[in-house]
Amino acid sequence: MTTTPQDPAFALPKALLKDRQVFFAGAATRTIDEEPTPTISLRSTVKTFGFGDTVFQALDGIDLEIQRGEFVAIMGPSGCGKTTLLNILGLLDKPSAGEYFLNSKSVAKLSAARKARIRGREVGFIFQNFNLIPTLNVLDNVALPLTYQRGLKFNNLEKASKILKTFDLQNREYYLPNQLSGGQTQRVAIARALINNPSIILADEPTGNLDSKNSEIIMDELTRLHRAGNTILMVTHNPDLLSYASRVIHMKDGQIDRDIELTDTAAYKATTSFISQRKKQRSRRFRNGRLRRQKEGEKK
Amino acid sequence: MLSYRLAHASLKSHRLRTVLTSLGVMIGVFIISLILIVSRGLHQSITDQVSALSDNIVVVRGSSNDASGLEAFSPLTAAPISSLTDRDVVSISGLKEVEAVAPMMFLGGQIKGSEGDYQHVTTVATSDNFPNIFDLKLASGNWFEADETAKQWVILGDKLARGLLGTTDASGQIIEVKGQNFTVIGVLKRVDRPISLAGVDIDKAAFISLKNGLMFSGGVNQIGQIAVRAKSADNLPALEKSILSVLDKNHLDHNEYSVRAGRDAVGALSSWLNTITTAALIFAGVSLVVGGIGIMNIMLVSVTERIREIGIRKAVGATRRHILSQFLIEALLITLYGGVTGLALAYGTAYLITLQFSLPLVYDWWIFAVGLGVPLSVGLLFGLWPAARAARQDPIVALKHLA
Ligand SMILES: Nc1ncnc2c1ncn2[C@@H]1O[C@H](COP(=O)(O)OP(=O)(O)OP(=O)(O)O)[C@@H](O)[C@H]1O
Ligand SMILES: [Mg+2]
Repeated sequence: MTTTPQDPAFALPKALLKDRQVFFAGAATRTIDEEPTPTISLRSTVKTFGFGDTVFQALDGIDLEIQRGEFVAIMGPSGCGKTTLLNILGLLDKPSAGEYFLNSKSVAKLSAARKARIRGREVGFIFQNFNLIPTLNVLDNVALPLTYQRGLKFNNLEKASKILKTFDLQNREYYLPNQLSGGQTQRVAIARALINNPSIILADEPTGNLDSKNSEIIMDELTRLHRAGNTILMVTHNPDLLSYASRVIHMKDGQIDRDIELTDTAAYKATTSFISQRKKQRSRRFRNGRLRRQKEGEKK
Repeated sequence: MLSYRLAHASLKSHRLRTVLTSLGVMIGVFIISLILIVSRGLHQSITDQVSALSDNIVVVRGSSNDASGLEAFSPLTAAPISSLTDRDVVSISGLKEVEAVAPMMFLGGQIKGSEGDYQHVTTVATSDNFPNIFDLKLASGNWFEADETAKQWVILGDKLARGLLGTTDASGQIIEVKGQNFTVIGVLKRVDRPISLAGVDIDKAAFISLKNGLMFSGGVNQIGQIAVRAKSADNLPALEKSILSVLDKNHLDHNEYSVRAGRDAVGALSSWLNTITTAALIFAGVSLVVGGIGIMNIMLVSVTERIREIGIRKAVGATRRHILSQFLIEALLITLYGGVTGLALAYGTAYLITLQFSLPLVYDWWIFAVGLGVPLSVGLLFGLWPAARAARQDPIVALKHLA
């Protein structure tokens, strides 16, 4: 058992818990008794906004460890602090209290330039509100993270063009963001987040504006990146997408309410039990389709 | 290169604003470059004109030697009271370095011809070797000889002849000089040098013998200046010294005369030009500062307007230095656009001006350096603070900023 007693997940029924050590024994080929260092580690992290009477605690003592290679889905009602959490994890924001270790290094000690470089190289941020630069065309927007990389930058636009193709946007390269549909904008934002091959992907509702077909394109891409060993944190309100995750975190009022490892269907079903019946049905249909596709893939 | 592309793209998306902002710089650079080009042209033309003739000419000036700059070469300051005398002329012509000497007496007054009537014509009463000293050629007729000074003869400058008689082939015609009838015996070739060491605009002057001059002055020997031609240009300084020592012997008051050579004229004129140029440049500099403040203002607005963009750039990995250089390059580009157009306009205008006044069009490398270097420094100076403000933005605050 690697979870500490403070871990909120500890309070959950044993049936829902899966030993992380076991899970990681396969993924990380380290010596078995050596505990892998978590890529993300938050210790009683607090984030408050405002001053005096208007102080609001958006994050209220978060303890969280995420290993390299995990696919974490973050759920929770609107305003519970999901975006705030991602902002801190992505080094955009600073915690008001508590500590944040990224690859076992305290983030508080990093210089602004160092943080910027980590954001550019290690982190892919898919914003809830996309955050494209309105005056740059799609291609330039997607290539933007590359422009801040060190070294030679000959084929930035080629790379951007290539990734846009993955998201079926090859004929929108010279559009400005305001000429795109919501779903297209979202896909451009995702393309931009992924262009640097980031090892940590922070996705704030990446499929919020997409139909099931385009959601699938996105989720397949995230799955591919996950399989390649990258760490993914994805905020979602869509329980159908939980099947892609290896772990689900439920937040409530700035705290982690539940933290569940998902490794098999039983655990998945248990997780969805608190989701409304209608959603559950929809999610089954979605999941069945996905399972079918997976099987077909295996046959090939 | 990349920052350039980004900055250029962002300037292009605010085309009108970019143009208006660079306008201030453009005007400043235009004025500065124009002043530099034209004043260099003037300077060069003066240098050419004066030195063309006066390599081995020295002018001795009576009276005020406190006159400096351009006035020192103006007949107005030379004429009225002079202490130079015949004796000085004789002494100077006895010096071994001297080739020829001509006394010059300046008279003003009315001249009437068949076609024109001028109230104030500079009339120079001088000797037979005046044209030799200043290398003057005659278009028609002759200059008077040494034994012809008693005759009431006059030689006219090119423009004066045309004005008075409508021709430069005027020998034999009678004109009225200060109420006396004079016969024109020659007209000089056009000189086209308004400023010369002789102290007169030769094209607009009339020349008579010293004897006739004394008749007009009532016998008072008022030699305004003595023109001296040296045997060679090399011993000009020695000649100046000899002349001074001779004059020092002839006069009790050593402040009564001065000796000037051609290069003094150039020096005096260029110092006068430099003064005017400096004053004009200061005004132009002020206009550039105003332009710079305009840039700063626009850049600050643009930083505020684009805080979200800055936040996004930082979120995808831009460091402070990236943002700083982006905004700085934007400011530099604005000023560079202004500088290039200002410089081009200045050369266009200078071309027209030099054409009009027959000046040379100067292409000194340093005019280009100033024309582009000054606006770039303005851009750097006034763009730095807004750029630093942009770079300082906290990423999350910038991202949450309402666009
Ligand atoms: N800059 C801020 N100043 C004050 N309060 C803030 C600020 N940013 C966020 N909050 C508050 O913090 C809380 C958490 O915000 P957050 O954006 O993390 O919610 P969320 O879980 O992402 O919600 P949603 O699902 O709607 O996106 C909200 O109640 C919000 O009002
Ligand atoms: Mg949110």
